[in-house]
Amino acid sequence: MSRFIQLHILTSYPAANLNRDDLGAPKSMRFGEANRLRVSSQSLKRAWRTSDTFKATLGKEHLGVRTKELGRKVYCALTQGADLDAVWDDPDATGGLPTLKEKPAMEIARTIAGVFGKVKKEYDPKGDKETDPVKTREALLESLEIEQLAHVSQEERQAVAELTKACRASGKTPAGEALSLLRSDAKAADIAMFGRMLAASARFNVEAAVQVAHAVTVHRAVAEDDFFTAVDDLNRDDAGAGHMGVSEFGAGLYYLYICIDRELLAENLGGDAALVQKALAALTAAACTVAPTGKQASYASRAYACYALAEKGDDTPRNLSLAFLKPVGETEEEHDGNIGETAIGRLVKTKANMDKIYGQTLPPKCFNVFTGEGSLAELAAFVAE
Amino acid sequence: MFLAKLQLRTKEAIFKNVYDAHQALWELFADRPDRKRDFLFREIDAENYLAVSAREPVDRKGVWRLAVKPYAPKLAEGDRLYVSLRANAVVKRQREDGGQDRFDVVQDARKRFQAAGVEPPPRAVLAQECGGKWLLARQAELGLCFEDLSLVVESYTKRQYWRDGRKVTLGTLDFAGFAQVCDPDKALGALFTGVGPAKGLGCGLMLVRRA
Repeated sequence: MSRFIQLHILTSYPAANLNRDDLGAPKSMRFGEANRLRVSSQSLKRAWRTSDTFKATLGKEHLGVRTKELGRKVYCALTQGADLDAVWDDPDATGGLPTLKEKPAMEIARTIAGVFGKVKKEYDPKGDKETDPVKTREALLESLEIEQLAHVSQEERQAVAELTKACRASGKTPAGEALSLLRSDAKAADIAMFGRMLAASARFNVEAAVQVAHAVTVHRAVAEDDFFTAVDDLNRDDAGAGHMGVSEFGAGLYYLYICIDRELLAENLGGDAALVQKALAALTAAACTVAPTGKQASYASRAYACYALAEKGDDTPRNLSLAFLKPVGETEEEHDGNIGETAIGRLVKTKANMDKIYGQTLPPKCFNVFTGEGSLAELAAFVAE
Repeated sequence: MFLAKLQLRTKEAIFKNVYDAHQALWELFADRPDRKRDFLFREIDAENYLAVSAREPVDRKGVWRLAVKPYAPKLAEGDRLYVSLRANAVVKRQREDGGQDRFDVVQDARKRFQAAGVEPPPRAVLAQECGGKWLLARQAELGLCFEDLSLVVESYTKRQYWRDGRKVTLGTLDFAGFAQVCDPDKALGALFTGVGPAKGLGCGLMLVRRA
């Protein structure tokens, strides 16, 4: 079996503002001596993890949750008499179960949350000058959060739910064995793919089996050019409700590279071959169809990949960004052509040359929307098999 | 008015012995020899420029790739804009002999620190402080009201030019920030006629988009 699976994906986003910096401008970088736009891998991974594609293919039981709020949930469950699952979906849920007093509930919540990360500073009711009960309650709840997001598998969430139940009955703060809530054999496909870091217990960290590069435009993208595009918007009256806000920019054809370590993925998923296949199919589909969601409402920048190439092999992985070191569309011939087709041509040629020079024959599979060759189903099946 | 995106076609330019992009850019707007400058421009890189002009550029030599749009911003009081400006922010100082010295604000601040025998802070820090002050002191004139915290000086660059056989050094500041339009007429004036000195060398063109 081939150890590494590499995906090379080209996607054209029209007027979009996918991933912005603090100033509201799209993220950019220099590559091949030219400015490019980029979409960070974090924002891509987040979009895929929370996508309907992942939910539909993998099912809720194989997806973890990223949250700071475990302690908060436990506290609400204990004081509102509802079980953890009910509170998870609706923080204000109440129920007929026995309730605990504020103090012990707070202790229990902090102890449980502490397993997943460092809990924020304890709430001190005497130090709080606020008199509005809504605000003091919010301050108390916030103090039960952990400082960094923790990636929690469904199995772990279940363990927390059971411990919460036990604490509700005993009213005591859990200690020792009862607090072994972390699982290394959990079946959370997203954690297995993208890894996790737990500041509180490194032993349960998971090394990511899927590496995702930042997506970067194959062509030059000059921020100032956006002002040229933005003129149309400027020439219109601002009064109309239809206007686009920060004007359309960030449009571009992006190259995305993903490298999957199949062996590590299988290991992370406890050798469950069927789940590995499902995870790979879900990842392929999401990477080709799910766009990061920045400003989606004003741009409708949803787009499918126009080209995807999958390769399998045991050789050390390498990306093909070399194909775009020289920005696409700058020579006379390329200027008049279709940037998408030019980019595909360059990618195919770079792969062929790489294969030849390094004496590698990575079995490839691709689809191409310009020519109508291949299909996502075939590509996903190839990646998963 | 017109906003033009100008790209120098390097190969053509070399064939036609056009070696000075700035010169070639001026020729786009020079319909007769005594024409006074009635355009503003910004260099993006050695081959790419944006220009705002009263007349459409005309590429007589055939060395440019041009895209031109009518430029008639409709601004109303309270409109929020994202503003990008490259300016030669200078202070003028009277010399004892009656002449005038111009220092860019960073240079000027450094001189004052040095005169007081104090090691000046890094240029980037001075650029942010003194540059910000310089622009904010002019905002009423520009019909704009900047959101102070959003105003950044992205870079301070020394650019050298040859002009009439003399080397000219310009310190330019690149500003970016969000602002509200408080006087639409003044703001339009600033968009069309530019901000600060050295407009002939690519300073002063204020670029905006709605935010």
